[in-house]
Amino acid sequence: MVSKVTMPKLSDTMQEGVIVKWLKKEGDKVQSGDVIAEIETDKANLEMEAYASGVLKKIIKKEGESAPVGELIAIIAEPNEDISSLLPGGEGQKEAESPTPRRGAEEIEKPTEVVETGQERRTQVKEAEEFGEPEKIKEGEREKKRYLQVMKGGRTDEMEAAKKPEVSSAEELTEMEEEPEHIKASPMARRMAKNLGLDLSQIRGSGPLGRVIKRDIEMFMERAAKVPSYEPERPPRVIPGKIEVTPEVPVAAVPVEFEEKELSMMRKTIARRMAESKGPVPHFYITSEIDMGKAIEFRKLVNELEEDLKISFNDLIIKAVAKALMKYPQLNVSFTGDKIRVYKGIHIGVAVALEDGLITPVIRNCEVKSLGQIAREAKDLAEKARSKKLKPEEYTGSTFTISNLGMYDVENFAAIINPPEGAILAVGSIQEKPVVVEGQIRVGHRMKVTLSCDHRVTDGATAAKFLQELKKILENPMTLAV
Amino acid sequence: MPVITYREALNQALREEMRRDERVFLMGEEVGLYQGAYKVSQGLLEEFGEKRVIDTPITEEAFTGVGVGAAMVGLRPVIEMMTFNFSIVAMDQIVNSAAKIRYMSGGQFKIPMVIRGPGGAAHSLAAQHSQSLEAWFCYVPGLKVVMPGVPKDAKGLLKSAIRDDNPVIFIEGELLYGTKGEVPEGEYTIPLGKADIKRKGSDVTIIAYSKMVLLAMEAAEELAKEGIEVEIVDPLTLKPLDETTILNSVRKTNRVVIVEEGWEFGGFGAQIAEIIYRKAFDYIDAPIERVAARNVPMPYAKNLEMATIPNKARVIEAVKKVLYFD
Repeated sequence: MVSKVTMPKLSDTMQEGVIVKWLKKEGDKVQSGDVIAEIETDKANLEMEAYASGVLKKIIKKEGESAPVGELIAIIAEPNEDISSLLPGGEGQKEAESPTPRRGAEEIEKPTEVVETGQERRTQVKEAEEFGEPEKIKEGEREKKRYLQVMKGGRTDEMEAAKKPEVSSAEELTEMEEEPEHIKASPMARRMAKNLGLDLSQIRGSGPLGRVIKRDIEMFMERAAKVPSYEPERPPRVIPGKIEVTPEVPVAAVPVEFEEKELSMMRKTIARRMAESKGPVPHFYITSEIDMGKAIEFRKLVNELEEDLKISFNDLIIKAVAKALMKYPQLNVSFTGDKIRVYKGIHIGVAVALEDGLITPVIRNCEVKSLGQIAREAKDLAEKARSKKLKPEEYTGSTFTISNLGMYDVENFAAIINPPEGAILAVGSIQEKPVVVEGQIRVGHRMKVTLSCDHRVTDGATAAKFLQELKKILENPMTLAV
Repeated sequence: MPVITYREALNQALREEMRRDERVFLMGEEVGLYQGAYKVSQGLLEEFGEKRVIDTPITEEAFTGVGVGAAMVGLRPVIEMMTFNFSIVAMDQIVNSAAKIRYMSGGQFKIPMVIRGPGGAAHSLAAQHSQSLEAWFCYVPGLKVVMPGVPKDAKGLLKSAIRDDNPVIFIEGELLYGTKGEVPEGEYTIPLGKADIKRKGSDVTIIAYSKMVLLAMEAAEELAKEGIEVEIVDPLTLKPLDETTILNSVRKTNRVVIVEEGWEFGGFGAQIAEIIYRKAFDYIDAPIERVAARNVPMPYAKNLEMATIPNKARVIEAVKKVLYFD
């Protein structure tokens, strides 16, 4: 059985991947489930498993090359199986280029079963001979295939070349004639996917011939609800038109020397997502100055008490934000086009800077976690982030994000909302400055925070009250211990 | 509520309408002295006399034509077909006269006429006497077509049909006459063109009418034991069809099985399926399944007859198919 290995979708935002390393060589034996390659996605380097057994017959994308999700990157087959038809310039191509006259009915090919690996879509040979004269129908289908190929300028699609199993039932013919990439889905499933902003090609169809049906979408959403990572990235139907992320680069009158660097996967994702945020999301910003004097003492005290636990200012801020969000859940929301989704759990994304970008690991359910738990988790996630070991469920599904640039001596800044969240908190440095306390000028420790909010879901007064609450908590840090 | 037979319900409807409006009269073979081939007109001759309960010779085309003429001059005839198989010889009067005169006279003549009688199979009546011809009538503009499955609907709809100013084809069932059901006491009517939800459910919609409603109910009971909640929509009036009720149910369940006793090819269920595909396309999760008679003349042998018309097993199978239970 010939199996196509395609670029898998390893995260919900992944659109293409780079082969970091092939862990099997051409000719190596492969068992279904074996890790065969390491793939760099937009977020992390992940392992890719084989979905079929046999021999790694052909590596199509070499190490360092990138391929869009779904593209053929290798072929697994039996040692002596002929895969030439799958390769570029293979048999299928020739057939397309020179459409031959009708073949006789006696030349009926035995359908080859093709399993698409990455996509997990399985095409089965079934339902044949419902109409007594399968030969005739196959003949007709072949004709149509050739016709389609010619219409496409003689180019053969991989799927065509792969000799997609021919289905002889007349009822299925219409389905099979469509584009090879055509995803079979019931109208209901299509509608649901569209409304939820899901990519149908990522959902395994359990219906006949792999048709995606309602229950598949429901199951997908159920799983997504457990691990919020599959939540629709963007609120559906709110982005007017396409967001252009590649602006025109002005040509200078005088030659300017430059060097162009390839965008890393991560950079591309950041570029796309930030444009998706700033474009359609009407941001507004609100800043507050917080007296961190007591928080500094509190942190010192806690860190002295617990030897193996070091709590950072950021941990204090995470916990304080969670507490403030419990009081103001209006900011723990997403705009979904016609509704406001208020999240039950407070899942805080913490921006972690990396060499070529940033990532926001998520601390889930901060509303029930103690300061210590948050501190331990934050440390662990940050380490994983830096070593690119985060799993998709560890960096997706946040409901509010904190971006702290305090360590870079930044007084104040405004962050771009991490869609589809409703707000993000930008945290500046704690700065020593003269403050007036009870009529006296003293040295105080002040920190500025700026909340960026989506004006579609909330307004200034709510945002201000949230900041007041946050200020109150951080200025009375003992409340963080309860 | 009193429980009476389908036959008694129709009898009550006729009696009440004849009492209510003296223009209403009944005409057909054996409707008077013999009290109706299926005893639907029992006691009517006695109460209303020979002028209003008229026995005819075996001349369907002729007495249907008399009915059309009577309707044109202001009476409200109820024409009984001993069975609808015999309406075939009256087709010219039904299609070319009853259905067309209001239109072709520019509205000068109304045809307030009911043509009623049983349709469908009724155990070993063989090929010529077991037919479900509703699709034929639905095809013709100008006719209304009503097919009640339970006594309550039979009574309420027959009364509405008699009061309607258009020709109404009212198809009963030989095997339904003896079935019983609750019928409200006193005066009530059921409007034409309004479907009824016979059972509420969330998993799959079965659209069935006439005798097939009873079959669908049986199948639904059995499926409920497996946790499958069937919604049964009974259109009651096939034409004009209550699309809204059907489409609302489909939008809820996303899966449809249509059960009819007539032949599958060109059957009325195909029309319902077309409407659903066109108007609720985005709500369909599985290809619509139809359970209908096999495309053969009805065999005389009872076992073969049973194999030809829809049965419970086929309905259950169809439901499981649209639910993708393999």
